[in-house]
Amino acid sequence: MLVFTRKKGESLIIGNEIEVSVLSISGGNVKVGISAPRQISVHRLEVFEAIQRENQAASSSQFPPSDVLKKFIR
Amino acid sequence: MAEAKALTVRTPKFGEIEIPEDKIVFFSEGIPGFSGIRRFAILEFEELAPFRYLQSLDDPPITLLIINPFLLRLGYEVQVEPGEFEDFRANDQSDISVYAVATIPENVANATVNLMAPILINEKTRRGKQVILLDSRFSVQHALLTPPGQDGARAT
Repeated sequence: MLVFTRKKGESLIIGNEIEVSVLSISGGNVKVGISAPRQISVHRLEVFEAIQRENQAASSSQFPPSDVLKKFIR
Repeated sequence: MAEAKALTVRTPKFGEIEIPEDKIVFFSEGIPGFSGIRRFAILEFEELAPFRYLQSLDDPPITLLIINPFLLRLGYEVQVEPGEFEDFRANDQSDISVYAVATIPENVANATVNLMAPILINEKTRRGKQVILLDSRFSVQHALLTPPGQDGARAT
């Protein structure tokens, strides 16, 4: 992993278009601002990981049993 | 005459399936949790309705059980940031299908549905994306079934 030390107000650029700025630092929290092209999704890593795990769990799902199916037929 | 092209895929779950080329859905960013797979198809089986399967065509063991989340009547809404899904923008909304991924573990009572990250498919362009909603009301593990006791009419 590439490691940089930045002060409040300083930024990094990734590629030509993604800018990461350190907006404020207080206590143990760093506020980070990201400007990126709209088609680049930016999310908290733990949210993304939760979705990865959920997709993997879903892929080993069993077939929906018939009593489950019945619940959705109206 | 142009031949109707189809892709034949041997799947562990459904055996050999044939997908017409115009039914292939392309996920240009893939789906989180499965790296490098881009092509999927929606499989529909009468006996599994209203569920469907999102079947990977590049890695056949990967299948996701999906359901139209609006059927769950949870006051669900999908607010997508403009530009989050290119094919979602400036298009007729009726071209967009919305699916939620369901997980049915061995204990069926613990079945969940992922409302935080719905799968959107533009039926015209055949492009799809799993988007992440910022609305904190919708979790990745929303109970699919009403817990017993909350639905008196439920037969077991």
